[in-house]
Amino acid sequence: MAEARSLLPWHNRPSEEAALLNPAFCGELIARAAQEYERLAERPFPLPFAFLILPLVLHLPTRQALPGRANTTFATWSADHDVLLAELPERAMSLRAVTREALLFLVQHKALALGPDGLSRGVSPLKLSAKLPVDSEDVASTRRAAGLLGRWFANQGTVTTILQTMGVTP
Amino acid sequence: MTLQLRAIALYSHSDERREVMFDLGCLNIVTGGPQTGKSSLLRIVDYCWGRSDFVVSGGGVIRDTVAWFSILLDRDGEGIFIARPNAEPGGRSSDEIYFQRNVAVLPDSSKGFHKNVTADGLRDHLSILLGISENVYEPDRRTTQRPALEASASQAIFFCLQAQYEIADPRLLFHRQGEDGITAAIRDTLPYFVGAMGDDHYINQKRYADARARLRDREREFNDAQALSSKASVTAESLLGEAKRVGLVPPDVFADTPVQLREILATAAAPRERAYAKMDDPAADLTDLEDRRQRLREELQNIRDEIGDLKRLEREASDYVAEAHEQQVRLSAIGLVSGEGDHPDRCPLCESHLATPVPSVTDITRSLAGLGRQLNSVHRDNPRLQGRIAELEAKRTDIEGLHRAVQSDIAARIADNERLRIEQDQFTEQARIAGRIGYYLENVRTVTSNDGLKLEVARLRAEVAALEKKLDLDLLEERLTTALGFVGRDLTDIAGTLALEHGNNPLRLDRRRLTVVADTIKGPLMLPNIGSGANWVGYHVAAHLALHKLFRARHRPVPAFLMLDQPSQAYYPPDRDVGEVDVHDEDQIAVTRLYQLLLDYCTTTETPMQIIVVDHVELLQDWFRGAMRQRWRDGIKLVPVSWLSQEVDEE
Amino acid sequence: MADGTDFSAAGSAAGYLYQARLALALCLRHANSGTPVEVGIERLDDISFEINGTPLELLQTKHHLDRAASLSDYSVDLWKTLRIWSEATQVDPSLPQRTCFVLVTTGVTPEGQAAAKLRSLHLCTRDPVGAADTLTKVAEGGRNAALLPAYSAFLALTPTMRIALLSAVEVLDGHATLADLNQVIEDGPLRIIAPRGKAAQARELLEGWWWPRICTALMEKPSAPISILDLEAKLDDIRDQMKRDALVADFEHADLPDTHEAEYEGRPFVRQLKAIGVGGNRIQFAKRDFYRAFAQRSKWVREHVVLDGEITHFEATLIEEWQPRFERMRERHAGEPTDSTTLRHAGQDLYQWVESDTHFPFRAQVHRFLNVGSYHMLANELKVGWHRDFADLCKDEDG
Repeated sequence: MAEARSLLPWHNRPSEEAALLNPAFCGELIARAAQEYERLAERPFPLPFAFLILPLVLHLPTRQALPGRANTTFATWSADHDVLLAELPERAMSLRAVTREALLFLVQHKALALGPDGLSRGVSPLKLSAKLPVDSEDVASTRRAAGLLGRWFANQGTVTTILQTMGVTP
Repeated sequence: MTLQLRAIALYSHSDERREVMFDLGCLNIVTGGPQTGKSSLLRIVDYCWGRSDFVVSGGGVIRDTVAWFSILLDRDGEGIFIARPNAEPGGRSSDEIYFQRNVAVLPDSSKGFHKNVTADGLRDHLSILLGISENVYEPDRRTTQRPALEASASQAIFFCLQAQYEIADPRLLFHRQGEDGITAAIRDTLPYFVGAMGDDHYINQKRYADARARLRDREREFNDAQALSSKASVTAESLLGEAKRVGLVPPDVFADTPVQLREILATAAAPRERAYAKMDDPAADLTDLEDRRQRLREELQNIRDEIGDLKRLEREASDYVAEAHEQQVRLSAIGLVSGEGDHPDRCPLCESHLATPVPSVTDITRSLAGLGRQLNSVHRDNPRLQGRIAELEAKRTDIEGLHRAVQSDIAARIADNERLRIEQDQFTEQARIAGRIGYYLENVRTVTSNDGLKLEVARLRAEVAALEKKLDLDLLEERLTTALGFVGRDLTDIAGTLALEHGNNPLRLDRRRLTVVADTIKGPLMLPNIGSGANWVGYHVAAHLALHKLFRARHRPVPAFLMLDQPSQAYYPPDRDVGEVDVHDEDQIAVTRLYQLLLDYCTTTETPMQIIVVDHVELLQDWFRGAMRQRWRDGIKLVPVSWLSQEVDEE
Repeated sequence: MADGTDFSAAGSAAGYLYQARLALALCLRHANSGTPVEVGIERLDDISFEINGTPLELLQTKHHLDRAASLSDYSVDLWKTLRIWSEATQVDPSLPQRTCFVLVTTGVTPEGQAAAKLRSLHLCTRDPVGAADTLTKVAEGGRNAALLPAYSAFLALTPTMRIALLSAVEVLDGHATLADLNQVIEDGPLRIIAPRGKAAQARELLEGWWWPRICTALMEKPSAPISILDLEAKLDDIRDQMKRDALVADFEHADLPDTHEAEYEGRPFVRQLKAIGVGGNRIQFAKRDFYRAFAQRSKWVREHVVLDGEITHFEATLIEEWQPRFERMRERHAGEPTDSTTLRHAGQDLYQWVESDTHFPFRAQVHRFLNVGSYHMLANELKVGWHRDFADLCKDEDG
């Protein structure tokens, strides 16, 4: 695994990076995916998958390219979107620190728990169904995409296959 | 009164004086060898009399040594002193003239000489001394360009001098005759000097010329006016047509008689009110409007610019709001977290210390709050922005309204101006025709009513007639004939005495040709045709003596002296120094006869006459020696030799 | 004697100045008229307006220090002028057909004199035929030796040509004197391009350009014409300059806090500007830069999701560049009280640097708004500031 850039302390981050990639929001997206995965697959969300969520849902063209249904075969989809997938490893690498921070944030707040098989629901899960005072179409579609990813991953083969397809090594 | 020469004097640069004294009322002779300065005497008199275009030459001696030339005149016992400096270094005559009356004797020194009179002033002084009455006449500048002519001392002197080159020249009877303008001056003033005309003759002659010129002008105008009225009916009809065309007269008006026609024209020419209100400079008004339009346009542009700026700001603010909102939405995910996590700087998995602490709920909440405030500021800004835009748009609408109004004002004003211009053109045209009619009527009136111009012509004719009578040119001619008759008689006498060729024929002075004419059986013979140098000298002398006899008898204002330069030159060429001559030779007899005549002339004339002769002959008779004032031989000259050595010494 | 000499020197100097200034005043008439006119001084005449070397208007200028000089039938001014024009017409008889001869004089013409019949103002009194008649008589009878060449030049023209010439002559008498030309120049287009009451200042700017321009033109042999386009460009220049100056004047006035705005404004970056006395339009520009930079950067991060450290690096650069400048200012003005004018001015200088001299590249591109706007974003977080005591003065409301 290549060396990822580390994050600056919150107050020193460029404001848009801090706000747009804040651990609460990013954690929420991962938590949504994990929760859906766990619900369908009935096993903990494999940790490597956590590092795929943000690169796939935050990047608008990629998000838009995601399948609408969770039963889409992974092989078919990846064959159609090889250009997007070519960029994915690099984006995943640059967002590694963000994902890591989000995971730490979730674990700290006991929203998720990290076990040997992966991430599972914590003692104090996020209130994912809560209605927030502000909303936007962009964020809503991101949330939907995160949930979908969880279900999709749950429907597809092994972790290794998925990671290989995505060009990401654990 | 008589004016004669008492002395001629030179003053050297070192203020020494050299003088030649003359006796009054008699013959004065100065004899001398060649190159002694004889001819200079006459030149000095000419120069001191005020001749302007002249310098006393006489070679380097005089030029180098003499500072002042002077003459001392005698006027019935009063001494009149005139001095003039030698020529300036450039050879030009000096215009400095020193004039002094009541001078008893020649001044010893030239120290006191200074310019106190101009050449013109000197001429006036001498004219008064001679008794020439004021006869200057200022001609009307409109009719003549010739300067006023007057008889003055300047012309009088022509009858008193005979230079060496003149006395034997058959074509030049008088001094300077033949020079530009001089011949005419002598001819024109001769009638005055011989006393054929009164002193007011010149004035009257000028007035006469002037009146005749004015008469010619008026007569021409009068003829023009008459020509105008003879074409009256045609002109009047055409004017009526013009008046109808420009609307001064209704088109249906016609005249049956010339009187009626004139009445119609009179109403057409009558002054009328302008048909429209006077405009107060519409062009300036238009310029104001255009300026105003330009200002409004400028203001409008500024407002549009500002609205544009504000709208850009508004758009950029809304872009900002959209982005800030996205950030806000993402930050607000913190709302999904319940409770504060613990130990943000410790890894919850391995309990190790984190280089970068995980952001706390507080951190994120605070950022969220900050962003909220920013957005609020923008939202609060927005109504003000909108307000300002609305305000400017209202202003823009106002100004656009004003601009439209000015625009239509300008259009209206341009249309107005065009209309006014047409009206004005029409008015100008009317005024022009009315003016022409008025002019026509005026002329018709002038001619028909027999006053005005006609009266003026009549008055001028009367004036011309009156002056003609006053001038009485016939009488003048008669008087002149009489006077010249006396001159002719004396001339014949003297010629006889001198035994001149044709001296036995009647002789006369031809005042037009200014020569002596002998009336012979074969016809008139003029001086150049008479021949022989001796005769020419004789006739010159005879003519002058005859004229002066008349001048003296009639007390005419001509100086009572006559200066002759080398009258013997016809017998003895001037380059030969004859010295004392014996009495046996034919020429000798003739010369003696000439001098005898001059001597007798002075003593026999009723009023005293002074004759000054400069010659190189020297007769042995006692009377001749008695008349000799100076004898320039054996080193004696006009300029003393000592002056020359001084000159050398000084150098 | 000395007085007389001085006077005559002053008179002729004034004459030259008048000629050049009048040319400017007359040029302004042609500005923005759409005709490519060129003006010449001492070229075809005292002053000439021409298109491609063909004269439209030839002007003779006669300046008199007093108003007494009059343009009578025997006037030296009039005849010297007529001589020049007569000789030109003799050489090129078509001139009167296509050129306007203008005699501009500060003197006045007595009514009834020939020159009065050539005035343009009262068109119905214009009478070139009558003037030709009068002037012919004067020339024929003239005795003034100095004017003999002028008389004979005029008489050398045929009588018809004399009338033709005079019908193309326009006499502008009683014209503004050298000093009065100030007003004439200011009343032209300058009135429009200059803010109210600034016409004199605009005229000074214009004349400051005109004199050297004239000198350059005169140095060439023959003297070179000056294009009206040059003048128009200069007028645009002056318009801009006066507008900018007006803006600067606005900043000065912003020394007083804008209470109206202060009620609404809580954002630190705006407070930062107010702390150093910047206000008005400049704050508006600051806001725009802030909005644009914020939106641009945010959008980039949101849509492209490339966390390559570019923004961090850019912000670090901005701070590093600001830091030593701010420290220098702080050291220089260590003893000043917080509210001193000196501190405000020092802060303005620092902000001036941000506004005009920061050109740091961001993702290989240099955008002014991104530089200035990013500084405002940093200022908004109090990571940079303009006033020495900005940290205290501009704390966020809850800070």
